[in-house]
Parts: sequence; C-alpha cells; structure tokens
Amino acid sequence: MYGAVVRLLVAAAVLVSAPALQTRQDPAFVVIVNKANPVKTLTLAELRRIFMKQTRMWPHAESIVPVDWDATSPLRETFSKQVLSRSVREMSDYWVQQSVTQGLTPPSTQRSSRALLRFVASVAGAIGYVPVGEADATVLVIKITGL
Amino acid sequence: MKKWAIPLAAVMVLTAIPASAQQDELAKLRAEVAAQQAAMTRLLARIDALEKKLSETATKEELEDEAKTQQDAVNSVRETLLGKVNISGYSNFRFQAEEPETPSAFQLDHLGVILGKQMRRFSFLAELEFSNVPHHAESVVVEGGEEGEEGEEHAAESDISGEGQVAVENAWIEYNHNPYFNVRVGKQLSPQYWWQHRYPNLTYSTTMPIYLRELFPPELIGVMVRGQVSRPVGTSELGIGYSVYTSNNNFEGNSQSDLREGKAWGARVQVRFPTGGLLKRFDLAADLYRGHSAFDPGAELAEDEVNGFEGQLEFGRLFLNGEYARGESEGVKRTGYYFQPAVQLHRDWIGFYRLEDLESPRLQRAERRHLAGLNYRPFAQVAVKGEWYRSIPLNRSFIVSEEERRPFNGFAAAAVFFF
Repeated sequence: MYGAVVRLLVAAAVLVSAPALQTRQDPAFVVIVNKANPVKTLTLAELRRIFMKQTRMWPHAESIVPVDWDATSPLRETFSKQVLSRSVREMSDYWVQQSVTQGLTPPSTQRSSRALLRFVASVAGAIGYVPVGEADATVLVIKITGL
Repeated sequence: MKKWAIPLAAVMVLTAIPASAQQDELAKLRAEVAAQQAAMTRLLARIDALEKKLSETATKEELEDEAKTQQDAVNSVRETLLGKVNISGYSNFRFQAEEPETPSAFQLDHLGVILGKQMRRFSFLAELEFSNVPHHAESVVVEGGEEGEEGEEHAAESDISGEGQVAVENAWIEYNHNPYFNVRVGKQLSPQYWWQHRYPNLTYSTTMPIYLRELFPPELIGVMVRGQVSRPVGTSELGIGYSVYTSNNNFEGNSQSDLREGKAWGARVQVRFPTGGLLKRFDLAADLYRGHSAFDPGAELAEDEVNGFEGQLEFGRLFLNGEYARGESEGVKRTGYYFQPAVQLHRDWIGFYRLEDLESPRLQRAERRHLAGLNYRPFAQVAVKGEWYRSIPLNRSFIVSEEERRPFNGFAAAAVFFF
C-alpha cells in the first residue's frame, strides 16, 4: 500500500517536472559573488533559497547578502521567473508575507550593473547577478547547476 | 680673366646673401613646425586626459546610484554584523453585518506592529497587536467559554462596547543553525497553514474559517525545533520539512499559570513536491497535537488530542487551499475543515469561494458555511476585500436547543494596509 503511494508520488513528481526540462533556456545573466567568497558553484535550488532568504549563511560562516535589481528592471523579471519561479509581483506578495511572519526584509536593490558590481565587490557575503558579459574582474562569476 | 672673375665673384656674393636668408627662414619654419607639433602633442594629450575625465564624470543619476550603492553596502554590513531592527505592520479596518440579531459593526479590527531583527544566525520577532474588536459570537463563545443562548447575548453586548486590548501575538527568538535545524523559543504561532498566514493582508477573506479556534491552538508558548531537507528535481525541488514543539497547555492565561508537569507537544511534517513548470506550488502536511485544555477559565484541564492534514496547490491562476482537523477530549470528538479554491481574475483581482464546516459537541455547534468574495490588491501592501456568506445549521444528535436553528446570511468587508 505504502509502496504504491510512494510510486504514485514519484510519478507525479516526474510528471510535473517534465515541462520545465523541455523549456529550459540559457540564462541572460551571470551570478556573481565577492572575490573573497570560496564558493564556486551553487545549485538552482540553493540560489533560489538564498534570494528568498531561506538560507542565510555561506558554508564558510559568512552572512549571505543577496542584492537584487530594481523592481522595474527586465532582468529582474527574467531572474525572478527563471530562478524563483515567481513574477516580480508575486515576489512582492512573498516579501509582505515574510515581513509579517518572519520579520525579514527583501534584498536591497540596485539600478545598474555598475552599481551592482560595486556593491558585490565591497560586501564580503554579497551575491547578485548582472547581464552576461558585464561582470568584471572586481567580482567572481559562479556556476549555477540546473539553470 | 681677372676682368671676368671680379664681376662673377660679385654676382656670387649677391646671390649668396638671399640663400643664406632662405636657410634661416627654413630653419625658423622648421622650429615653428616643431613647436606647433609639440603644442599639438600637448593638446592631444590634454584632449585624451579630458576625454578620460569626461568618461569618469558621472551624471547626477549615476552619482545618486553610486551613493545608494555605498549606503546599501554599509547598511548590509551593519545589518548582518550589528543587526538592524525592521519595523513593519498592518492595519485592518472592517465592516461586518450578520442577520438577524447581531448588529452590524465598523471595526478597527487590528493594528499590528511587527519588530524583526536578524543577527547572523539569530532572529528575533515581536508583534504587538492593538485590537479594538467588538467580539462576534463565534469568538466570544470560544474565548469566554459562554455557551448556548447566554453566550450569544453576551456577544451582542460586546459588539456594542467595542472595548479594545493590546496583545503580544509573537515574541520569539530563533537560532538558525542550518536549513535542517532551527530552534525557536517564546510565544509563537502554531505551525498550521492558516495560523501562520492568518494576517489580514495575507488572507483573501475578511473572516476566518469557523472551525479554526476549536481544533489546533492558534499559538503556543514554548520551544519549537524545525527544519527541512530538499533536493533539486528539474528546476524545482522536493522538500520535506518538520516541526516538533513542546509548549504550555491550551487555556487562557497559560503563560503564567500553566505550572503542571505535563506540557503539550505537537509535530508536523510537510512535503513540498517538485512543481516543474506546470505547478507553482504543491504542499501537503500532517499535524498532531497532544495536550490539555480547559474549556472554561478555571476549569479542570482535560486531555486533548488533535490530528489534521492540509494542502496548498497553485496551478496557473488557480489556488487551492484546504485543512481538515479532528479532535478528541474526554471521549468527545469534534471535527472541522475548510476548502478554499480561488482564482486570479485579473492582475489585481482574486475571486474566492470557501466551504467550511464545524461539528463540536462541546460548543453545541454544528454548522456549515458557504462563503464567496472578491479580493482587490492593487499593490502587495494594500488589500480591499469583501465577502458574502451563508451559514447553515446541521442537524446533529448532540445539539440540544429548544430554539429553531435557521440559516442566516452575513457580509464582511475590509481595507488592509501593510506598512
């Protein structure tokens, strides 16, 4: 009985995951961290948890400081849908909920690649994203598996 | 020969003077060109320098961005290392009218102020709730312990009085070790979905499901350990979360007077199924609670057991949400549930329907309610909502009432602002 239920749940999991596998696209952004950060790779789920502030510490015990783009940015919308599986508007609802129930605030935002690069370069635990080709030597580009 | 030599020499001398002058002129010109070239070189260097400086000169907007970036960086360091108190809250103004006896009422239902602070692995949250709540029959009966007809009369009086109160809804400290292990101590909301999301700016409806207060306690004072494990499946993840807690027993004033040895305890397991690109969310959870409760203030505590399960599903514009719970105390069973489908009609509009049910011998209440409404949310922080509901009494053998129990209708609306 229990085995049948487990098989049914696994089948359902595979079924709902299939469309995502078919529609995967190359991301329009690269994820950057501070140069002092020893982390070189993250999974998509780990990245999602970081930007939803569900994971708060790097493995080397540094506080994680996610930095996002301004809500009007098209790149933010792309990142939100590809990584967080939510629209920017839905994420606003999420942050209202988190503020009330957990006392959490959304990540701080920046309006340009230059500003975002400066931020990540100057804060040890920072993590952000910029369009492909706009990361410079002041930050470290990390690999996201599953994106 | 000498006759020719003298004039020739004279001619040569005469012609030699202009050649010398031309060479001087040429030398002068060369010098001038060299000077001009040097000047040009200097000017080009100056232009290069100016162009370089120009590219470094920022517009006002860029300077503002730069200042903001630096300020944000400083704030982030301050927040993560020193801690910064985040203040937020909500205001909920509502109107409720219920036929036939209960008077209609405008209510400043809740004004909540929330203080949150994170310091590396530690979090703190406190919520002060200022209520000016004319209590309605459903809550007075539960909280005050009034039963039957007398309770209803008391509720009507309270509606008019509008006496307010200040309550500490949350005051907890949490240690976040890692995703798998977190400890939260203090006064906190019970882990069930509705209790965790009971805030007026999060719920679609103005009124809460009628069964809620009769099953799981809304809050607990104690220690909760919680965490989750997950692994990626496609672009989403499969996650299993748990909560285990021990707390004071469930009765009024339990923070001071629950001095007995036997504490309440509870547990919850939640599975988050991978959603891929098809679903946005698919969560199922099971809950249990074991403790003692007193139905009337000052009465003897009785053992109480509650089990329940719940689910949330988001599929495109459709949201499904439901909870079921069954409790037993001193051999008397009680049950309740709600099922709430909702659909996003437009970017800012959500329409919802809720079917809910409560059967409780100890409350002398058996009732089914249908509720339908609209929720307008132009911003994530603002909600205006309205609903109509119809309550239908259920015929059950445990209901002892000489009065005829009739269906009745009600209307509730609210304006909520989150800040």
